[in-house]
Amino acid sequence: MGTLEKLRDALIEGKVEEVKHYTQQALDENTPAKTILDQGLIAGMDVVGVRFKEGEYFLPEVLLCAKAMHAGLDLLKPLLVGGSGQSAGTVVLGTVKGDLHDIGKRIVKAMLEGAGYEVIDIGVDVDAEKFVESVRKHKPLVLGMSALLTTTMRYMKTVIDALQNEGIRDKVKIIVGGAPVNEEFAKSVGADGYAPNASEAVDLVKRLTAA
Amino acid sequence: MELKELSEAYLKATTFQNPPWIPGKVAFLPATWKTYGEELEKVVLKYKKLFPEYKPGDYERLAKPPHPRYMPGKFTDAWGCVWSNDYEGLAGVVTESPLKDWEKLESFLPPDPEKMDDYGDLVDWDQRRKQMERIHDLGGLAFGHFIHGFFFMRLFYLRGFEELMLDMAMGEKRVWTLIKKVREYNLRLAELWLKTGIDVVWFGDDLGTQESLMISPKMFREYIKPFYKEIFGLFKEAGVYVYFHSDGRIVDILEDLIECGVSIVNPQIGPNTVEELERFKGRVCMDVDLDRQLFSTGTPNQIREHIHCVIEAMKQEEGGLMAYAECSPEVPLENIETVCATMSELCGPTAMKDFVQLQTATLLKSNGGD
Repeated sequence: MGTLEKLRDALIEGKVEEVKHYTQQALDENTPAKTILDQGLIAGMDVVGVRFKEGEYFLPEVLLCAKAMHAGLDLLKPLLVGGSGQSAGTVVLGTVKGDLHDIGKRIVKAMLEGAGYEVIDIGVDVDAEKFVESVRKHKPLVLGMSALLTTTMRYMKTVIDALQNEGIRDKVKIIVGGAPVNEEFAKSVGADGYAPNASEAVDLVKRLTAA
Repeated sequence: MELKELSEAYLKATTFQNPPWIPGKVAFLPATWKTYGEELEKVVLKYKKLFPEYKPGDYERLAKPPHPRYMPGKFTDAWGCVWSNDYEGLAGVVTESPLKDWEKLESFLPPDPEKMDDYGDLVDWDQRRKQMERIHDLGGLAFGHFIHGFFFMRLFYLRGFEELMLDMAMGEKRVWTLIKKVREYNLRLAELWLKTGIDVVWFGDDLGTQESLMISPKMFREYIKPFYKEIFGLFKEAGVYVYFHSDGRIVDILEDLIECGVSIVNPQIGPNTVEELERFKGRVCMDVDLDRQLFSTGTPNQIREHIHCVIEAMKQEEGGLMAYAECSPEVPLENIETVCATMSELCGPTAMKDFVQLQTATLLKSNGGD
């Protein structure tokens, strides 16, 4: 088994130190950083995503694999910046105003980073102005909004309306998620997509950014 | 209606002894009362059967935050966990955890349940016991309660969510010291409740997400189940019925919860499907938590159909069914009326107070808020 396969398998098993070791070993073997990222780390996180979706992995396993991913990524980052191995794109994530729930969003962030996206987390209790400002500033491919409360999920429409009023709605794809949100709701507020869990959020972002 | 009748119906439903009706509860958060006030009162008075304790004008009291954690701002509980809230009338979330740094673990002391509850409110256990005696004298059922988040959630409130998940995934040994401290607090609290002569004890601990358990069934069995079995067993041995609430999907460990001694389980419809729950009919009483998300977004017809479908599928002549419908402030009044009308058609009143009332009703003194 080659180093990249060993790296991928170590990541799938959430073995942080082994991921560091095999990432370094691959670099020492002169494997390009982008190849290590794609065929080692991202390939591993793809499997983690599938296992999560299929109910084989739960949050502890996913978060541990994400930690292992970061351990490898830390070694690759200095070599990827500005080079041919730039991220798959930028995603801005935030929990809408009035809602302080953070956990689901952080898991989506971990999975998206695992898929090679640069994720800018603008926090919880985020108002429409801040979402607009972040879209202007970071020019993300995708904006993700999260809400855990039926009370706050309606604010997603306020944000989408604000982006529309500012004339930048068509500059970004919008995805929504959180326990009370569903496909129908996403359509009703004018979002481009909805994902019921972190793994499917990655698939959704991939689909939307490939389009 | 006499308290005795309500209590008998509740007990018969719990123990599968042909209750005269399905105990049902429509619950409103303080924020819901604040949003609708008198208009909501009109609905409640129209369906008085479901709200036997409600008196005209109560809405003013019910709209007030029952505790500081229902107020905007920050609040530190008796464990040192900091709660933040942005919305008056809804409970906040823990945003600062005192044991993010493991170094503080050894010297960390849980609160003393003899003196105060988890939120730091003072408790007079002698008064509490007398209160339970009075309830019994009136023919009522005495309910004890642990907080929503008494064990698993308390572990992540203390340690931080991601930290706890990683600790569990990596088999961090200090998790067991943390568990020991939370366990000892709760066992001591159980002893105190048992001395008050309660009939039913309410536990709440969110274990599920919308789609799955947060941790695997295997991990649940390793870290959580042994303690549940121990503490629920104490009540079961004393003849006290154990009520267990969890948000999210729990059907995958329902068998375990039954084995731990749960008498009444409160699963949410949505994350747990009716078809899955039907498999447990007759084995544990279910207080089905109707789809509150549908109440917010559905039409009156969809809501009516949902409640009918769930109750039709789950009901049995011998009992084992209760129904719970919680309405948050954004549920349109028209939908609230539909919930009340349908629940009134299919259910009778329950002896159990709703969650917010239950957690504040037996507080004798408070360090704020009330």
